[in-house]
Amino acid sequence: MHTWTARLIEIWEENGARVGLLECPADHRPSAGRCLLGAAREGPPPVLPHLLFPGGLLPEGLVLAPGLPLSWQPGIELALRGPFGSGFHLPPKARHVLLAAPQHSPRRLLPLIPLALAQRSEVTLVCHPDFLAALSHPLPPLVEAIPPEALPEALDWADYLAADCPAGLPHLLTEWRGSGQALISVPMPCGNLADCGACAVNTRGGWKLACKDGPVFDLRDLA
Amino acid sequence: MKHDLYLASPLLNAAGTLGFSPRAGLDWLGQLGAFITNPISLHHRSPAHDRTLIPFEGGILLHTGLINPGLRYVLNQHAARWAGLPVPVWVHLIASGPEEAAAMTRQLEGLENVHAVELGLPPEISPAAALSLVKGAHCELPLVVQLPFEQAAQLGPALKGSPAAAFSLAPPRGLLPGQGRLASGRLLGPALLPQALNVVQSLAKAGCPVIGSGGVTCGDDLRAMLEAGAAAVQLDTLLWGLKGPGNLAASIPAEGWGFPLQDEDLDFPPALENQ
Repeated sequence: MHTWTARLIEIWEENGARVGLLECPADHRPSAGRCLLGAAREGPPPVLPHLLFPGGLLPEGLVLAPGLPLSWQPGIELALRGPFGSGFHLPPKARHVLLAAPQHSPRRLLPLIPLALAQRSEVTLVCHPDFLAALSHPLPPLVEAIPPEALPEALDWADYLAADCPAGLPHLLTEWRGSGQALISVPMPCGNLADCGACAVNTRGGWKLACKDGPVFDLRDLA
Repeated sequence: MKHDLYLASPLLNAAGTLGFSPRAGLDWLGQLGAFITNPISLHHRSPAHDRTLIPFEGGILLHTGLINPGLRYVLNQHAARWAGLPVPVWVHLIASGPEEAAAMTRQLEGLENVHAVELGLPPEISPAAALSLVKGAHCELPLVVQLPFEQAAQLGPALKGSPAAAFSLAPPRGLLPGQGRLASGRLLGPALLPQALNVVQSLAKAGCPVIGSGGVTCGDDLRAMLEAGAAAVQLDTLLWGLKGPGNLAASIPAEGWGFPLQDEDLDFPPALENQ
């Protein structure tokens, strides 16, 4: 349960949500879908630390996905714990990688893009145009972005699906029988310290805890 | 042989805050006088279907359903680890009746490094039913009875003279709007401190040995709990923060806490009390 500190370099908004850039040592960067807990080092501590997800990597540091608290300002030092949980595992043989965030920001899926391109996979991102336009940096030219209406067609094409649907997975995705994973959005108050059960997820193998066994689960395991 | 409650530190974790055994690498674990397990029932308990976490100013409302795999599984998975912990273990039990409580506490007697049982009483339990449950749980290990917060001032005095060696407090329950409904759950966080101090003081004044809990986040809070009459203090959401208890141990007064030793069959020399 190692705690470390890092400086929040920059904060910007994407479609109304606060995104940040963290000066983060390479060995502390969470892989796609894994998470950190963070709180400002100075000032009164929050009741619970904030759950943070990677939203990309820039030369200056780690992009933190949307949802940073209003009290955080550029330049503050954060106390951090993690990474913890189980993230996305891109199959090395996947050639058609579909990233699906049809209802909200695709940020938490973006760390998969360089991995997929490095293994010469084709990448398609399903995302609402408003969220796409709000991204601070353009997608790599090799990534095709399509609107949510094109999801059924994209599923026929994909041989691996990574989904992020905080409001719940659409039937189209839960019924998909290909190789895929989904990032499940649930509160994790104990941050993997207590098996508190708040983040319990019902799977075909029984109840699992998102903070320990997830928050990324195989689509076929989700009940 | 029946043992007394002994604590080398008045700091404890509240049940449900550190798992069935503590995670490796908690460098502050030694600050605790004992490690208290998550609530354990005789049989497996699934999480509540309407589990929820709702933050409010100064706290959180949390409803989980007290998910646990059942006593047998917990003992298989964790008893060996408990034996090697640097702090004593108190096992928190939830039982549906006195027979079940008896069956569960019997399985804990003789386990290495298990020093006490904490028995959680369900909300809205009557004094008679509470007494019956406490009698059922009576065993060689000291019994700490966790009282429903709202009934603590009534139940504590009613259970004096029972096998309860001390009383602790369950988090109060509350309602908050969330997810399109009024959600019910346990309340945790610093906003609860004034209410908790009030309940602790009323139990202490009634002559009940009490372990305080609710809203302790700093040395001043800790000292206030002890001044209100708490023999020890359980910590909850503070432990989920990034600093754990921080340097709370530095705020522990040299005296004015702990339980009186009453039994001749002590495992610890009296000279070690309150060190």
